[in-house]
Amino acid sequence: MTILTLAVLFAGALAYAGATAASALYLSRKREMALILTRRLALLGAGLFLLVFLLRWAAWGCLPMTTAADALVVFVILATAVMFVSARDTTRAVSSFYLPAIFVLVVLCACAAPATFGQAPRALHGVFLAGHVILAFLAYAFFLGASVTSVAYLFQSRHLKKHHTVGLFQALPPLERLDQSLFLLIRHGYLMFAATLLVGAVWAHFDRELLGPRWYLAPKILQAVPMVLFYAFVFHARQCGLLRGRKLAFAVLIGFSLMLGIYLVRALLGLSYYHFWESSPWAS
Amino acid sequence: MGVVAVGLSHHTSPLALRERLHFPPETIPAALRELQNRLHGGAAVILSTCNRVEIYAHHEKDAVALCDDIRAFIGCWHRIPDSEFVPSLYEHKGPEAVGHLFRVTASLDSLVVGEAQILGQVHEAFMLAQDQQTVDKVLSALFQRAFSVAKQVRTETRIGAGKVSVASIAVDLAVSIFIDLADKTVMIVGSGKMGESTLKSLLARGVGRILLVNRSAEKALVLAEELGGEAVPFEDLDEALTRADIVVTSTAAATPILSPGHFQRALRKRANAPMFVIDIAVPRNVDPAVNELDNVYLYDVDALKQAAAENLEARREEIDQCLRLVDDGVAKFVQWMQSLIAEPAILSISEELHGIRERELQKLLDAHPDLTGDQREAVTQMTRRIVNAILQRPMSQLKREVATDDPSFVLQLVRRIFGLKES
Repeated sequence: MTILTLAVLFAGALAYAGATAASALYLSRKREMALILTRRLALLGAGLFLLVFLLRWAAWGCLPMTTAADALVVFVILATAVMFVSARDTTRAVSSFYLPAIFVLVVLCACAAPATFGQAPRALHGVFLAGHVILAFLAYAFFLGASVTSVAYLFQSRHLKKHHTVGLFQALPPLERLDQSLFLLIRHGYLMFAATLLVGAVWAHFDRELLGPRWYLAPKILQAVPMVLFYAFVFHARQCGLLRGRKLAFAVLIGFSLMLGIYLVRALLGLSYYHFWESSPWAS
Repeated sequence: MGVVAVGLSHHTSPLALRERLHFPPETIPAALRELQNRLHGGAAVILSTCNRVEIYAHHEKDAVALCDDIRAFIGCWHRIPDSEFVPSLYEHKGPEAVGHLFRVTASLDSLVVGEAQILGQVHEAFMLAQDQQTVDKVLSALFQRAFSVAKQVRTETRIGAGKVSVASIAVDLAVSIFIDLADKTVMIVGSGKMGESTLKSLLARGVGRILLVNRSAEKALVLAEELGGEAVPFEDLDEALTRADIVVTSTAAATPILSPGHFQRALRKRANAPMFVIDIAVPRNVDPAVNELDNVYLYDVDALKQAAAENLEARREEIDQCLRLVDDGVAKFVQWMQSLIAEPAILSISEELHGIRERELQKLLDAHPDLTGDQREAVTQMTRRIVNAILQRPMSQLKREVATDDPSFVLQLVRRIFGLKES
C-alpha cells in the first residue's frame, strides 16, 4: 500500500512539474495552449494528490494531516482548488503565477513522503480538532492565493507605470479585477483563520488535559494571534480604502513571507507543541 | 496549378500609382466581366484597397500566359502604358499565389501588420466576384481556405493584440485597468481634436458617464449636449476629479493644470480607487510627477507613442509563427488541388459502377413486376447506397495517392483496373 501511495504521489508530482514547466512557457511565450496545459496538468496533479490522501486515509483509518508530508498533500490540493476558484474565466492567466509556488510545496512533499508514509499519521481526536486543522489549511491556501495574486498585481501595475504594455501584460486581467480578487482572497483567508482560532479555542477548552493549562502561551498560538491581527488590519484597511493597490499587494506579500518565515523557524526549533511553558525552565 | 496573383502594393509602388490603378467598388463588376471576356472564361477576383490592387485568377491555361493577359487587361482598363506600371507589378503563380493571398488575408502583408480591416476587404472582394459569377470551384475553395487561415492566425497568435493608434491604445489601457467601463466616469479637460477622438473611442467601448470641463462654459455646454455628458465649470475641477476614473486632458495651457496635489486630494476622497490619466496636450497639462502616485496611471503623448511602437514590434515578433500557419494552409490547399486531378477518373468509375447497378436493378425489377412503387424505390435506394459505400474508401484513397505520389502512374493504373477509357 505504501509503495502504491508513493507511486501515485510521484505521478502527481510529475504532473505538477509538467504544469509548472507549461506555466513557465506561458509566462515567457504567452501561448494560450501552454495555459490550457498548465491548468489540465495541475488538475491531474491535484486529482492524484487527492488519491494519495484517500489511500492514506484508507490505510490508517484516520484523517492523514498531521505528518509534514500529509499536511503538504492536503495543502497542495487546497491551494490548487483555490487557484481554480480564484483564477478562472478572465483571470485564468494568473494560474501561471500559482504553479511555481505550488510546485515548491510539491517538491517538499515528495522529499518528506518516503520517510513518513510508512507510519500512521497521528489521529485527530474529535470533530473540533479535525475542523480546526482543515480550516487552518484552507486559510493558508487563501493566503497563498492572495500572495500570488499580489505578485500578479505588482507585475501588472509596474508595467502600467513604466508604460511597457506588451507581452504578458496583455494576457493578464485588468488591475481592478486583480484588486478585487486579492480582496476576496484576503477576506476568505482572514475569516477562515479567525474561525480556525475560534474552533481551536473551543477545542482547547474542552480538552485541557491534552493541551495543558497554558496552551494559549504556546509559540504556535503566539504566532497565530499577531497573524490574525495583521490580516484583520489588512482586510479592514482595504475595506475602507485606506490600503489599496500596490501598498496592499506589498503588505500581503510581506505578511505572508513573515508568516512563512516564523513557521519555518518554529518548525526548525521544534516549537510546535502546546506544553512549551510547562516543560521550560521558566515553568513554575 | 493555374492559380495566379498579379498586382502591386505599398511594398512595390507609390501611392500615386496605386491611385491610378485603383478599381472603385462600383466599377469592379464591369471590370470582372471584361477580364473574364479577355481570359475566355476562367475565374477572377479583384482586390482593390488603398494599399494594394491585386487580381487573383484561375484558368486552365498556362500560368505565364494568364499573367500576360491580366497585365494587358490592367493597362487597357486604366489606359496606362505598360512602362508606367509593369515594373511595380508582382506576379505569383501556383503555390506562391496561394501563399500570397493567405499572407494578405491574414494581414501579414499589411502596412500595419495585424490590422483587422484587410480580412473584411478580401471578403468583400470575394463576395463581389461571387455575385458576378466570376468565381469557380478552385477560386472559391482558395478564398474560403484563406479566410480560415486568417482566422486561425488571429486566434492562435497575438498578431492582432495591442492597438497602434493613440485613441485605441488609450481605450485598451483603460480596459487593462478597469473591469467594466460601463460604470466608470470619464472627465475631459479642454476641447482638443485628439481629446475628442479619444473620448469618442471610450464612448464606443461603453464608458458610463462623461464630465466636460472647459475654461469656456459655452464650449463645454455645446460638447456636453453633443456627446450627452455633464458640463462642469473649470472652477469645479477639483470636485470633478474625485468623480473621474478616467481623465483626458487636451487644453492649450502652457503649464500643467493638474499637479500631484490635485490627485492626492482626489484619491483620498475616492478611497484610493485607481485613476487613469491620458494627457494628450503638448505642452503637457498634467505634471509628470503624478505618475509617481500610487493608483494613478499617467500616459502622455510620448508614452502612448511608445505603447504603439511596442505593440507594433510585438506583432512583428509573431510573424514567424503566423507564417508557419500560412505554410500549413498552403500545403493543404496544394494537396487539395492535386487531388482534383483524380476527379475525372473518380467520375468515370462512379458512372461505370452505377451503370452496372442500374442494369442489374432493371433485370430484377423486370423479373418481379408484382413489386409496389415503394418497394421498387426502397430496392433502388439500397443498391445506390451499397455502390456508394463500396466506392467511398477507394476513391478517398485515390485522392490521397494522386496528391502525394506520381499522379499519372496512379491514374493509369486505376484506369487499367476499371477498364476506363483514356481521358
